[in-house]
Amino acid sequence: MTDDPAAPSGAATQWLLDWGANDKQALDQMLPMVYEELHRLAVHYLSLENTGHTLQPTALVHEAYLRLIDQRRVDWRNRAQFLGVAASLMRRILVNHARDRAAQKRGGGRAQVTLSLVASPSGRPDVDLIALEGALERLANMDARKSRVVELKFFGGLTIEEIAEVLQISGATVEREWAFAKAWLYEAIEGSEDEP
Amino acid sequence: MTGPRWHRVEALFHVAAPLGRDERRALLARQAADDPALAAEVQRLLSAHDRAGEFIEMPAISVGAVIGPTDERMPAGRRVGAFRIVREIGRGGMGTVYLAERADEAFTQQVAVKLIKRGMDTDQVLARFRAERQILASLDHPHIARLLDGGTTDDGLPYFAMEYIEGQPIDAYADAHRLSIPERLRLFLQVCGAVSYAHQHLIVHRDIKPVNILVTAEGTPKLLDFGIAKVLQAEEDGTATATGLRMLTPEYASPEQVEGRHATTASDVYSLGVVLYELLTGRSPYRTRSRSPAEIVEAVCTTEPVRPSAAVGEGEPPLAGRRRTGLTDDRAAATNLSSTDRLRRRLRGDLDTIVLAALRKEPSRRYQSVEQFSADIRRHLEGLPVRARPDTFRYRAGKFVRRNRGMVAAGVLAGVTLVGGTIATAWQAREARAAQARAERRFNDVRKLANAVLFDYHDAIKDLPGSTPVRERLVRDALGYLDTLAHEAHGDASLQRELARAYRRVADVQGGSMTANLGDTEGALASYRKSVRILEDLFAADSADARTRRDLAGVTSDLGTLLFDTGDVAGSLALARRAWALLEPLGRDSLNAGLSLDLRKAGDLLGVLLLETGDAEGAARRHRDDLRRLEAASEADRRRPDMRRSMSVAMHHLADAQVQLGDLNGALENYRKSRALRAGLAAEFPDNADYRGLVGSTDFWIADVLAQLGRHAEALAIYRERLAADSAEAREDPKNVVARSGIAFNLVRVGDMEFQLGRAAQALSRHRQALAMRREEFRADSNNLFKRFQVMESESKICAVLGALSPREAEPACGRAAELMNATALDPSNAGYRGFLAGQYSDMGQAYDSLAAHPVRKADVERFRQAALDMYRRSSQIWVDLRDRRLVNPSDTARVSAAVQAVKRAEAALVASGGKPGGVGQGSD
Repeated sequence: MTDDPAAPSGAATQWLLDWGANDKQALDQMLPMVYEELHRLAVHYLSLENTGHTLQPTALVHEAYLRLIDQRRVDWRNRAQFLGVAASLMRRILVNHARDRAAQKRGGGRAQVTLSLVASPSGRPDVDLIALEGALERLANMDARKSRVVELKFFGGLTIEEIAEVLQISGATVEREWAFAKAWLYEAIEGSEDEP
Repeated sequence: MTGPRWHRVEALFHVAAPLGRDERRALLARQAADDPALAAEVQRLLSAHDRAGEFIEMPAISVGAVIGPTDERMPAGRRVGAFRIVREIGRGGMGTVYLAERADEAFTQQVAVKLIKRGMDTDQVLARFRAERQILASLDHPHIARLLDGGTTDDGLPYFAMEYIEGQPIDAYADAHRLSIPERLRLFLQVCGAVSYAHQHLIVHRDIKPVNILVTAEGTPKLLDFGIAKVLQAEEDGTATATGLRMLTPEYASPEQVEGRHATTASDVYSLGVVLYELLTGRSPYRTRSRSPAEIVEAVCTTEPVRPSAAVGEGEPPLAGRRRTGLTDDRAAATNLSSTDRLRRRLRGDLDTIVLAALRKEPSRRYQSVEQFSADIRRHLEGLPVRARPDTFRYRAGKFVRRNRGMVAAGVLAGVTLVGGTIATAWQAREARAAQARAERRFNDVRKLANAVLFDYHDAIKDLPGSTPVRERLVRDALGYLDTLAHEAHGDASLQRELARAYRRVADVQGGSMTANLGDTEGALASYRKSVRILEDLFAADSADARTRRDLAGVTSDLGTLLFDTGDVAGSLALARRAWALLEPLGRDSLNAGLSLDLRKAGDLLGVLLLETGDAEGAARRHRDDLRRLEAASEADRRRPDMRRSMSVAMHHLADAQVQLGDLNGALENYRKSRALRAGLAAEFPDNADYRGLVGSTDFWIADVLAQLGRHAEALAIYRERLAADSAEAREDPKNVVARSGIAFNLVRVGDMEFQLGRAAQALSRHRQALAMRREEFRADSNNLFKRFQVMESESKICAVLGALSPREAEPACGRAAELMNATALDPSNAGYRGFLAGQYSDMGQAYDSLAAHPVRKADVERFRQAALDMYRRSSQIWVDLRDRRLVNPSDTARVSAAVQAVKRAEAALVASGGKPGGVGQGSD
């Protein structure tokens, strides 16, 4: 009924279910489709710069989930698994996008590429995605779970509860991991102001 | 920075972060005395923590009801149909609403123009609008905003023009005017009147929510957008698409709408129920943690709403029980009552009952009409007893008892007494609800645990060498959980499906034929049967469900495979045919590689069984067909490991059939192709015991064909290599039965080749070693026919080798072998095992002949000839019977006449030694 094929896909749903039943190949089958859908959505929304209006902001991965998966056939466990991989894919998509843009803009020195796609009511400060990606990789080397929490929350837009579900840890732990990771990343990117 | 230091930084960070400036400074100063670098690091992080603010707090990219790009906004003065835009007055998921004026009239008529955003399917929207327009325009009710016109803008965007209402959403209006509960109810009754009127005109609103119910300054409620949802949504659209959900406003949509089923008048009853709930409590009936549509959908479909009286004044974290802006937090003040407690008492009882009756998940259990709903509200206002069934508790209690029968029996809920048939006190109802919540939580825990044990823990370790004892333990635990769950699964299809899958998994691990397993055939059969039983029930209830069909076929196929190992060939063949018949219709137009694998697995089993029951031609056809299907798959699919495995199995089984058909060279070629695929997989996945095992099994058959072609030395080399590989594997994991039986297997073959090459002494020691291992296996699993035959085979080999090597020792060994053979009962249709048994008898005949030819004492000769004749007779009886049943392969027809000839020769030899063949009666069974 819209100009995009928004009907949940039987194939994607089946793959998600099979993957949930530990059919590892099903994941390989599903990933390209999820990637493609996320990419399509991302490109679509990235092109709507200065739109300036959101009601009920929804994370893109949730949107992809609703589009691809037949809700009646899956449960919370499948959902968490889906959101978990979709967040990783989203990170790859957005970082690649930022790198492409940086490459296009490159004249002298590295262009800082920021996200200012859909303004939030609170006014989200711009983030240098490429710098964030570098810092996130360093963080992962020391503490993979913290990096994953950031991936799920920032790139995936998952709620604390959803992250807890994906990582099978408590919400309180997620909050602690987040607080520390956020400070660490901020310090890594912005540096200290009160250095002597 | 590494491990321990990282953790210290983190720990200190978490201690210091919530502290005030001075406390932090003191803490860090103390730390600096010990480790200044660490203190400095934490100080930097704390500073970053304080400054980070909104840094990465908002998702990198988020979407929502994004209104179309700027250029689609209508500037003031722009004409839309007969109207001129004045200004924008609102935005929603579907588009933007403008205040407009009729431009070509002498008088000014204000209208609301709703411009549908780009992306909605314009042509269809308009077509549906034209179909509905007459009916919508005919709605003439004081509380319904009139639809005036509709069409497309110059840009081709659909729009609707409606009577312009200046007012507030009903809930905000009620709060702003501090309407009391009875005033709210009376206002709501007017809304009900409007909806009821529309229902009489066969129009369902489908999108009732407070923002669609505006109350004018005079206190008149007006319903907006009647019928618009239907126009915007395809009637045949049976799925809850993302777009559909956004249009629906999931917080107010009924479960049936959320699930993509048709909206009916009962759906409007439900949405009205949500509105009334919010009007009375200021909160949504569901406590979702986030606004993610998926979570709301889940809540709408699965969560029981909190009673309105309990929802009021509930101390809640800010995220939960979301409320729209414009509503007053102090509910008592908003409803003009002196305390929250009073409000709670005002709602308790009738109003709880009425609201919850409208909010039931099943449309048939709600008020059957808006009229009934409002009649109950009116009765409540007049102090009359309400009609809503006061049995909400009994319904719940009934559900509760059904769900918890197992738990109650287990004493988990000891102390909760349910009194059927009486109206429970509020206290009991509360207790029962708490117990139900507890039970459901526990139920879900068990479900989660069973899944985790089976799917996560087991799979994590299954391919690791040395994991067998832990796996045994996991299986025991998992079965315990599953049997508990099975008690409660009745009527819950999704749980039943889950259970069936879980039992199947347990069976695979216990003793499935396809994977490395624990060797417990009996246990595996029982678990497979439980799974089949559950799925057959589900299939009987809904044979159109492809998933059930597929699951059922898969497990039927597995059971058939294992049944074959126990020698029940007829049963196995029946199951294989059933599995094939179930899958065949699905596989025709399959786009799913997993399904085509299932189909091939069923086809493969059928082929194997055809071969076993003597139809080698049919089997070869079956496997060639499978190979064709597999080769026709896409490039990507053919790269999948499971597809490659499947292909190798089909080639292997085709070769098996070729051996039976006498095409040894063709068979050798296919075995070698199969081996190449398997070796590739094993190299790619070095930790996978299954792939390694498959290479070994192909090697065996290659060697077997080589031996049949008389190339004994080549065959010996392969058997030796396999023996070394299996020994290494079994050393790592002494309980791995596949590796252990592989050792015995290869020992026997190595012994055979050595015997053929004239090294009888070496051969004997190999066979003895194998026999010891096989006896042990058989003792532990004595129903397994295959294991029985393995012991038999080893005994008979020893008998034969000793016959040549040491006749004195041979006799007892031969006697043991013959005894075991004679005590083996086989299904008459089991051509494979019977043919094998006949071959064993014939070998034994030769062994006794050889003993008679080199007697220790002259007196033994007649006895040995007699025994040889007995063996040949048994062999020939089997062959003749198989021939009569038409179960003999073409390649084996020569063996039938050979067996008959052998009997004649043995009779002659017996006569020559002085015996009387006619008197031998023990030869008949």
